[in-house]
Amino acid sequence: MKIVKISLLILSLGVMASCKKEKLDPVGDIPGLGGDTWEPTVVDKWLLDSLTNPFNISVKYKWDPHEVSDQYILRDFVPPREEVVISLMSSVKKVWADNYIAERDTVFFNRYSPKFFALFGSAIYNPANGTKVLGIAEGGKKINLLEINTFKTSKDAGYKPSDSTQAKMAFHTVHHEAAHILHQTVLYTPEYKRINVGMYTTNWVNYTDAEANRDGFATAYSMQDPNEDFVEMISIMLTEGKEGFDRLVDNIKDTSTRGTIPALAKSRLRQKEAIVVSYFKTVWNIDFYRLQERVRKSVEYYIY
Amino acid sequence: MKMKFAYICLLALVVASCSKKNDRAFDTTPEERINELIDKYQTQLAGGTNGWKALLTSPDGTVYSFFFKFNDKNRVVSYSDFKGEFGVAKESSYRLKALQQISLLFDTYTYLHVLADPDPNVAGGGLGTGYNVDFEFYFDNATADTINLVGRKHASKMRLVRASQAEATSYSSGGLQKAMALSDNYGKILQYWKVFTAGSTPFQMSLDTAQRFVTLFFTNGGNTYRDSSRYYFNGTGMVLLKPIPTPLGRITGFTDITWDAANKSFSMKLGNVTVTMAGANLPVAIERNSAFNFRVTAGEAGTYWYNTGGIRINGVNNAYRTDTLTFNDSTGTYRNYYLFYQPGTLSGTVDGFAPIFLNQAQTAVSLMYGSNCIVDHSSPDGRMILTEHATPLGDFPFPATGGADLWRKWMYNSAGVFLVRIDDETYDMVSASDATSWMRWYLW
Repeated sequence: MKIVKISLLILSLGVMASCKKEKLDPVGDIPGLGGDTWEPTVVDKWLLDSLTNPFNISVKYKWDPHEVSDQYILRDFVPPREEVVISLMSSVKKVWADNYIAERDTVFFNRYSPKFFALFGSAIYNPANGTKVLGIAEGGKKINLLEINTFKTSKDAGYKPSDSTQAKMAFHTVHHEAAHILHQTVLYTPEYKRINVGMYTTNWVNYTDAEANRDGFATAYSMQDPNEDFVEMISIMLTEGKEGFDRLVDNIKDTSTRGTIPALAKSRLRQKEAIVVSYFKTVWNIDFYRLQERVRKSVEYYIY
Repeated sequence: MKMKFAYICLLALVVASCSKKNDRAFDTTPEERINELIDKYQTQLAGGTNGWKALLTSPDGTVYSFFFKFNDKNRVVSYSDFKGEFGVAKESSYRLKALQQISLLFDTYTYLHVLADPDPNVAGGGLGTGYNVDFEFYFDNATADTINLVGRKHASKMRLVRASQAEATSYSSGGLQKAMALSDNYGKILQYWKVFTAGSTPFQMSLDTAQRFVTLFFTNGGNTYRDSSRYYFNGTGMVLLKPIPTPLGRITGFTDITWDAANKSFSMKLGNVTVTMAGANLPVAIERNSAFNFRVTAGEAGTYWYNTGGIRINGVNNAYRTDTLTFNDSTGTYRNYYLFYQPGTLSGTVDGFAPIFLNQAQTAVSLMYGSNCIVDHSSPDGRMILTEHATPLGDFPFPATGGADLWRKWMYNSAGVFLVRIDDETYDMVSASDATSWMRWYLW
């Protein structure tokens, strides 16, 4: 009986062993796993050599609607014209990357720059209220630039002075998003949040930039929250230059609808400016005014 | 005995547990099958060495023609009949991707995307929607020479048909651009009546370049016939989607189209017959009862006709700028919304016309002033002659100056107007004394 029991035991072991799989089921060649591939073109090569290899920044210009947030997935928008990609990204590199690198270094830039750009040819429209989305950024990592099919700098054929609005918008968006990473890494002084305390509102869409200025904000979008305010200040000061920002401050002549007198609005903007300048110096060891001069100069190169 | 049974059971289990029988429905894995299909379609697309003729049907039924030549390096060369300048080759990118179905994505901007562009400044279409066409398609089914694609977003349909060497050459040598001279220059003939004679049959053409409809009028044995079809252009000419039967046989399209800018005329071939189409001051084929039908259609439906484009005169659209008419009262400024024509306002032989205004708050429409007219459509040549009725329409006097006044005088031209039925809900009203002057009415 014992022998039987033992042999039964051995046999049952055999059963279990016989079911043991040596390895996992073979994983098939799943299409699209690891991202889509295609034959590289001149554009792909330029992006690889100019942005991906030196800065680890990748740029997706081929159609992928899932790069924008899901809320827009049912809207109609289109991929970019291939002809625009190099013009856009080379000017972005010059206005943004090259200037930070010149004031600090490549190590700094590579550590704190957004790593992924997704490009789209048209804006995303909301026909219900006539608004359109021109740029979206997520998590300090990704920047979506939209409506690039009509992007033109003064170095492109057929440039008109009116095209400068759109070119500056693209530069503004990139500087804005890049600045988010800086304050998300080291926060600015809480002093900043008290300058316009109680005036932040998600209702900012109903204000014009000029109205926002009269309350001491750089742009209407600054009114969203202190973080947006902070990066809008940086972006406006950099892309408009010192002269442009001074002009913005000096042009505040009327009391705002919320009762801010011009002197108070001006002093708020100047306080914010001082905090930005000191933040760049103490936290990042960057002379903001020198950076500002460089950025503005490169912006002017592309709009005049 | 019991033990033996247990052994047998166990043995059976051992054997069963080792069974390597494949009980899947397919021989290969889903990945393998997907890759196989992608490879198959990729090979088929790039294997069309002469390219593919494509017809894209938007959800509203409008048909656009394209010509694509795919290579195996994700590049595609396109031609499109959307406008004349798209008759030249443009290269862009494409890729096949396993989405919910195997899909063909035109993944950088080309002519196809112009139609999908949400910015109306690019090519018209709706704000945020364009013409509701797709540039991402899934493969519905395919034979060796035909591939049926369905748009992933708007379900627009695109059918690719393998092209011949001759067809490829017709595109690469500028044939599409040449054919599109017809729609590009059609509006340069200032007269409403565009006429030609084929054999002994007089024809009259009406082309709606926005909706891409062609309507032909012709006479046969004393009767006038009207038939229309959607059209598209290819490398050799204009193709009618629904051939039109005529005394000359079924007209499937026009080829060898050339525009003579000096004489403002087209030369084109209808089968083997070469015809010359030019502007004329009077129609050659008018439906005798068309004025009567114009009145009855709206009358019986208990509705009216409206016009938003104003009156075209001598090549100028909306010449009287009726769209800018305003009316003021204590509630503010009313702006013109459309022009209006209603049969039977006072009696069976009296109609009324008026500009309709939208109030300042854009919440209501009103008829402020208008004119009642006595209608005579007894003329055998199809004209309708209006004379003003003593009783005015509306509460306010018709202005004696400005666009409204010019329109009123236009309506009361003593020569009358011709009514041309384009379809049951669309009529053109053409001045009988000036063939360069007309307006289009739509049924409300």
